Amino acid sequence: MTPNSPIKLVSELLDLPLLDVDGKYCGIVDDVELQGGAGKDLELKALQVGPGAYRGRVPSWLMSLVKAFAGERIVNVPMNKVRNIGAVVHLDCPAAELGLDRSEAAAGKWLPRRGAL
Amino acid sequence: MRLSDLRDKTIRTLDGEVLGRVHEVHCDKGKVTALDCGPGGFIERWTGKGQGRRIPWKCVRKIEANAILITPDPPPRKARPGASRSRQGTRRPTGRPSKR
Amino acid sequence: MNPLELTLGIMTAVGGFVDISELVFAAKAGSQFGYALIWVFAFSTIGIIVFSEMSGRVALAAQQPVFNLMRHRLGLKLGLVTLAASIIANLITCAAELGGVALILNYLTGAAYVAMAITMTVVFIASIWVLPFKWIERIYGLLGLFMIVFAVSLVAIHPPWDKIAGGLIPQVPPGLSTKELLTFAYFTVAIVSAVMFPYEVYFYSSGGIEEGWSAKDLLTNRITAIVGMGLGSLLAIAILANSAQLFGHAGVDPEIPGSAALEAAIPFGKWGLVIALFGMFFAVAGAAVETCLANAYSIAQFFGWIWGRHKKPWEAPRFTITWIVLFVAALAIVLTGVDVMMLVEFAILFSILVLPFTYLPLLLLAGDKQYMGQYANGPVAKTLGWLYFAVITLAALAALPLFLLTSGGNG
Repeated sequence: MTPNSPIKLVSELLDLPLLDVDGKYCGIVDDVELQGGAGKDLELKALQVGPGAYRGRVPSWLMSLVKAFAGERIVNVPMNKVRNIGAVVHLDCPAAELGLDRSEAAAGKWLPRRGAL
Repeated sequence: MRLSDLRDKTIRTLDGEVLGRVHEVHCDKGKVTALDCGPGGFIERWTGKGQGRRIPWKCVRKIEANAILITPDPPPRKARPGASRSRQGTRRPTGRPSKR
Repeated sequence: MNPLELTLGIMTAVGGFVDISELVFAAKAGSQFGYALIWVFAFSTIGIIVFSEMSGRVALAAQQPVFNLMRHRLGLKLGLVTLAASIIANLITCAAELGGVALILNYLTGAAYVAMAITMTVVFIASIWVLPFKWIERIYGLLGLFMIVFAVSLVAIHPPWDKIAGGLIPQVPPGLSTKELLTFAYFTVAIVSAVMFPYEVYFYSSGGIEEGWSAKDLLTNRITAIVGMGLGSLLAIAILANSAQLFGHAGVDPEIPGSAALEAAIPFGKWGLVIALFGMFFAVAGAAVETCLANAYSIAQFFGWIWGRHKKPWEAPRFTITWIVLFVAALAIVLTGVDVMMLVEFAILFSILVLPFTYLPLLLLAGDKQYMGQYANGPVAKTLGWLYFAVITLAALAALPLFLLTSGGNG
């Protein structure tokens, strides 16, 4: 299904993995940003990816630990970058375009690029 | 606003009746259309089957810090086919009141 | 279906079935209760076949490994609890396997236990870095086939085959005291845990995706799970039966892993001992690699990182750093000096507690036609799946009380 299809946000979108256009894993849907409010339309605005999106979903003591180990970064993935939602969320662009590859790139600097068959 | 701001929030009518907690948010064409509340949230997540009561988004009047206030007369809960009448609050033959 | 690939897959599953906990508990079970616990091995093997086949089917149908769906089904909070419990259980298991490998090398070479633990950690890290996934799996799995010496030993000692066959019937030996009955119950739970370790399912499902399984590999998945694990369990049963025949009558309690190797030494002398130790080394080493990678898979999949040994290590940096750190953490546990047997006991205990959380989401997902389409659980998988879920839940509830009441099966 696409973002415009009928969808249940908790059981069919939240906590799904994200795959970019190159088929690389680039995070999990940690929360969903909505725009609007009571008495007016409430629209899907973006998917939120990153440890910062755990706030409100985990107890505050655990959030302190998350912040200490992983930071509080949130990347907002606009809904127009979502191509398809199924067992995973397929994006329409590379992870780098949305800044979803920063942690992998930072970790990659620690590893030598040799020796593997 | 985030999805986690809606989820697990108590739904209360303006008359003060508590209908349950939000466990699902329905969307269509990119817009929120309804909230599911009441028992069955955990079960729905685990089984993927729908439970509880559906509140159309147009019934939502106000979102507070701990509750979502809705119109006093939201659509009634639909009985599931074959569901026992006693689950809807009528007295059981033994005379013991239902949990609702 | 490529017959060579299928054969290699089955042989890898056979050679990789036995790990340090099965080795220890099969030997102890045989010496203490004779053939009476054979049925538990057989029963548990059916369980791991059911869930492994299911996890493989989920991987090839939904193209998602177990821990991705774990997060989605359980949600973040409960998912984190399951992940944390699974990491602890797998880490302790990895430490037990690493300690077991160091112990076996100590028996083989006489080299110091600590030095061997450090050396093998480096060897494991290097082998996973250098080798692609298939080679990792095949080398450790196929060389684990040296364990067949235990089956050959059993034939050589002319055991009472009728009693071994009788051990397949569910039973509780008559005339046990209360203490012995509790110990028997503990061994039952421990064997269920040892055979159905959660890391097996995580590794199997992620391995299916590593190997690029798709819908056309459905039959390969099924045959590998059934035949590979079925034959592998015969090795564990052979260890138990050998112990019953050789140690039980002599009143020997095989306290240390090396005692199991004597089962091959008695009929075949020095060469039997050496081959048994080689088999144990590769089987336990393979299990150390599997538990570490299973943990790394779980963490990477839970947080949506790039993962997999089908990629070069620098192409999945966070996953790579994770498995290296996990090996170092397992080594740190071993270097605290905790006895390997104690590590095995804790691994068993933690794993059985995590099992219901592992298998329930898998069972629900494998039966969900929306995810699985035509590959959803049929009546057999559904019935067996729910039966075994009930069994492992009961075992999980009983595990801690039995562990405490029997001092970890020591009576």
